[in-house]
Amino acid sequence: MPIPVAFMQLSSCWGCHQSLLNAHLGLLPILPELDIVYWPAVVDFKHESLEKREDGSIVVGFIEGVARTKQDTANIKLMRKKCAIIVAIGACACYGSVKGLANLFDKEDLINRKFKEVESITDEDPQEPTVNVPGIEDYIINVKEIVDVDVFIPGCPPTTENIIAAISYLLTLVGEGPESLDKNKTVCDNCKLFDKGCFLDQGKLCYGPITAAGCDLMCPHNGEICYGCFKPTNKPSEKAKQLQELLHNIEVLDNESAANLQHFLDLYLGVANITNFYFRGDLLQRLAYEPDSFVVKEIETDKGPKLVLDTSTTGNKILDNIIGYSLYLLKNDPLFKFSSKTVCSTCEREVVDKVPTDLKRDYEGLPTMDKCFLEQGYICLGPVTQAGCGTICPNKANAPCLGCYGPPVGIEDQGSKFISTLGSLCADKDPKEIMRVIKDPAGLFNRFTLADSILGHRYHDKMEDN
Amino acid sequence: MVKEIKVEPITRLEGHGGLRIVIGDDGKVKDAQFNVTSTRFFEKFCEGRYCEHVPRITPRICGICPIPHHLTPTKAVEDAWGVEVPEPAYKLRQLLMNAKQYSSHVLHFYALAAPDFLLGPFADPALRNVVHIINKMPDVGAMALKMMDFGQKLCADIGGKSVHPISGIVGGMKKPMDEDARDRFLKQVDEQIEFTKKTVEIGLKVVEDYWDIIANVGVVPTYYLGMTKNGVHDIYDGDIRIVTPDGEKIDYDIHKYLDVLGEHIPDHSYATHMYYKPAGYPEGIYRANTLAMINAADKMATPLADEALKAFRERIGPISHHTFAYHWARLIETVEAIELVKNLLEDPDIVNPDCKTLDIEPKEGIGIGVTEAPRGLLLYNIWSDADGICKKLNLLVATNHNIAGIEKSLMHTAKQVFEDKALEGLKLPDPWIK
Repeated sequence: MPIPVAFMQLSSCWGCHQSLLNAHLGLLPILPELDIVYWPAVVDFKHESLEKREDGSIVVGFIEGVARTKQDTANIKLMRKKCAIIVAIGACACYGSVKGLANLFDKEDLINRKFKEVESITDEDPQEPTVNVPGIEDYIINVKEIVDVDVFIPGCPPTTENIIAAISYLLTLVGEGPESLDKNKTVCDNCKLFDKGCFLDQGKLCYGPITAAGCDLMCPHNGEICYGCFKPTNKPSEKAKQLQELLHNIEVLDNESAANLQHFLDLYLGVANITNFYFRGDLLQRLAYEPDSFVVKEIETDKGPKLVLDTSTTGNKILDNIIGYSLYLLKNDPLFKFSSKTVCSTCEREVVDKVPTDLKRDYEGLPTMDKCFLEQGYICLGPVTQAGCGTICPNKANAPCLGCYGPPVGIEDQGSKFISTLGSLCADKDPKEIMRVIKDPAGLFNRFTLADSILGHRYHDKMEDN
Repeated sequence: MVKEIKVEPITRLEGHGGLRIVIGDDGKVKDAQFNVTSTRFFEKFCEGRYCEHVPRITPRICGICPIPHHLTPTKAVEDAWGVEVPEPAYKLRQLLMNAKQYSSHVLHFYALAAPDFLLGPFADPALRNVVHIINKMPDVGAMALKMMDFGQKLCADIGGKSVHPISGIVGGMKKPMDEDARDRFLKQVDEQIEFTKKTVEIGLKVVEDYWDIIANVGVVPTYYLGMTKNGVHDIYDGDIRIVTPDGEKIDYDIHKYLDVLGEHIPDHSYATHMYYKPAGYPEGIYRANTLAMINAADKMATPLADEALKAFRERIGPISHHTFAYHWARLIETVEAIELVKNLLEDPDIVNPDCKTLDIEPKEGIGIGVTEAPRGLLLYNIWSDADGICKKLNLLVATNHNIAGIEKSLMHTAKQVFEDKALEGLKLPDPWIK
C-alpha cells in the first residue's frame, strides 16, 4: 500500500522540491510507494482537503520553508496535527536559512522598504497590503520552536541523494520488514547455544533475548553475540532477565562495553546513519544532539534502584528498561561521541594548518583548486559546517563553503564558533586587516543559521526589554 | 446572492497564492483577485551584506530559477563597480542561463502545464498531475525526465550546484568547464535536440486540440515587457523592450528602468502590480514571460527557433494576446535554448581558464543588472558604498511582472465564463489520458 505523505511549503523558494525532482528517473521507483495527499507544487489538492484529513493519518509530513507569515505558522501546526512524523527539510525549516537574516531588522523596516520606499513605487501613500493576505510575523521563529520536529534534513538545498535516502529510509520504517520476521519469537528460540555455550552464561552481553526472530542466526552460530538487528520482539525470551542483570552490573562504561552498547542501540533501534539527516526517533542521535531532552527516571531492580532514560520505545517494560539503562550509561560516558563530520573532513583540498596568508574578499584574485581556502586567505565555513553535502562548492565549483548544512553536532552557534576559530587562526594578524574582510559577521558566518543563533531574536528581545 | 469562488492555494506553481472571484446577485463578476500571500523581504535584509555576497543570498528567491538570481545581481555589482568580465566568462554565463532555461521550460511544460491538457481541465484533481502522466505515458514521461536531467546536470556542472549555484563571482566565473565534462554533454546534445523536436510536436498537437480555447478564452490585450539584443531574442544581455497592445516596439536602456517600469502597491497581494509608466495604471499593465519575449523579438537567435517563431506568427499574427499561447511561446524558447547550448558547448572559450578579471576594486556606485529569467524579466538595482557594502537593493522579480497581468486576464476570463457562459459552446478534445 502506498504510504500517505504530505509536502507543506511555507515561505520559501521551492529549491528543496526542485532538489527532490532532480532525481528525475530516480523518482520512478519511489513515486509508486507514495500516496501524495498534499503537495501544491505538483498536485492539485487544495488546502481544505488537508484540513479535512483525520488527525495523525498522514504518515510522513515534509515541511519546507520559514514561518514568515501567520498562515505559515498555522500551516506548521496543521501539519503537526495531521502527520505522524514531521520532517523539517532544508536549511529554512531547520535553521531559518537566509530568510532568517530578516531578524536583524525591525518588522516595520522590512515592511517600509518593501511596500513604501522602493524606488519604483509610484503610489502617493502606499500601505502594507491587508486584504485577503495572512499578515506578517514579527520575526522568523524556527519550525522546531513552534512544534516538535522528528527529522531534520539540513542543506540549502539538501542534495537529491540526501532527500531520496531520507524518504527511502522513512518508508522502511513503516514497511513490514522481511517476510521471515516473527515478532512473537526471539533469536534465542532457535539458537543452538541456548542450552550450552550461551553468551549470557559467559557474562557477555547478547541481545538475542529481546530481539525478534527471523534471521539465519549467522552471528551466534559463528561465535558473535546478537546485536539485535531484527529489532524488538513482542515476547522477550526467559533469558531477558539475565541480560538485564548483566547490564545492571555495569556502573561505568569502559571502551569495549561502550562500543558494544552503541552498536546494539544502532542496530536495535533500526537507524543506520546512512544519510545526512537527524532523526529524533534515533535515540543515539538524539542523545548526541539533545542529551537533556530525555526524562531520567528511577526503576527498582534486583541490584537496587537504578536510573534509566525514559523512552517507551517498545511498550515492553523489560525492553524499555534495557534500552533506557543502556542510554543512561552512554549519556554519562564522557567518551560517547556520535560521528558528525565537518565539510573540512570531506574536502579534497590540501591542508597544512588552515592558517591564512593575507585575508581576501571573495572577488579578489582567483583561488587555486588544490589548496585549502583558508590558507589562501578566503573565508570558508568548512570547519564549522556539517558534512553531507558532497563538498561540491569547494571541490567542484572552486567556491568556499557558505555553511548551508548548519553546524555539526555539539556546536550550538555556527557563527560564534567560526569567529573563535578564525580568531585562533589569525592570532598574529593585524586586527584592521581582519576587520576589512569581516565587516558583516552575521551575514558571513550566520548566513543560514541566524534565526537559530544567539543573535536570532536580538532585535525583538531588545524591544521586549524596553 | 453574492457568490465567492476561491482557489486556495493555486497549485502547480512556485510561490504562494490564491484566486478570488466575486459574482453579484445580477450574475455579474464584481471582483477578481490574485492574492499572493507570501513575501520574504530580500530587498531589506541584503542591506549591510558585502556586495559580492548578495549573489550568494538572492538565489534563494527562487529554487526553479536560482541561476538568473545568481548572475543578475553579479552583473549589477559589476555595473556599480565598473568591472568588465572576460569573454569566456560571458559565454559560460550564457550557457548556464540557457541550460536553466531549457530545464525550467521543460519542467513547466510537462510537470506544471501538461496535466491540464493531457488529462483535460475536468479530470479528477487527484490524478491531474505529472506523476499520473509518468504512469500513463511512460515514454513521454521518461523523455521529459531525461530533458530536465540534462539541463539540471549541465547547470550543476557549470554552477557548482543546479539549485543555488555558486560559481559566478564579480568579475567572471570561478572556473571554466572541464574538457571531459564538456565532451560528455556534447555527446548527449543531439539526442536532446531530437527530444525537443518531439516535445514541439506534442505541443503543436495540443495547440490544434485546444485551438478553440486558445483563440477564444483569455485573449487579453496588454502591454508586454521583454528583452532583446539589437532586436534579437536574448536572455542574458540586452535592452528592455516594451511592446504596446498594438504591437509597437519601444527599446529602453536598462539604466532608464525607473522611467519605464512603475510599481503599484495593491491592498490584496504581497506581490506588487507592475505597469508601463508612460501609459499609467491600470492602462499600462503589462505581462512578461514567454509570450512577452516572443512578442518582443524581431527574430530568434538560432535557426530552428526562428522557424518556430515564423510558424507561430503565421498562425497567430505579429502580436499575440492569447494567454493560452504562453505554452507555445515557451516551446519556441526551449528550441532556442537547446540550440544555444549546443553552439556554446562547441565554443572553445567554454574551457578557457581566462574566465575571471583578477584586479577588482569596489567603489561607490549604483549598478543595474538585467536578465530574462524563465518566468520574466529580472532586474537588480544595487547601491554600493566605497567598501563594496550593499546599502540598498531594489528587485523587480520575474513573476512579479505578471501579477497585475494575471489579475487582468483573470477578470477578463471570469467575465467570459460566468457572464457570457463562454465555456458552454467551446469544443474540448478527448483527453489523451482518460
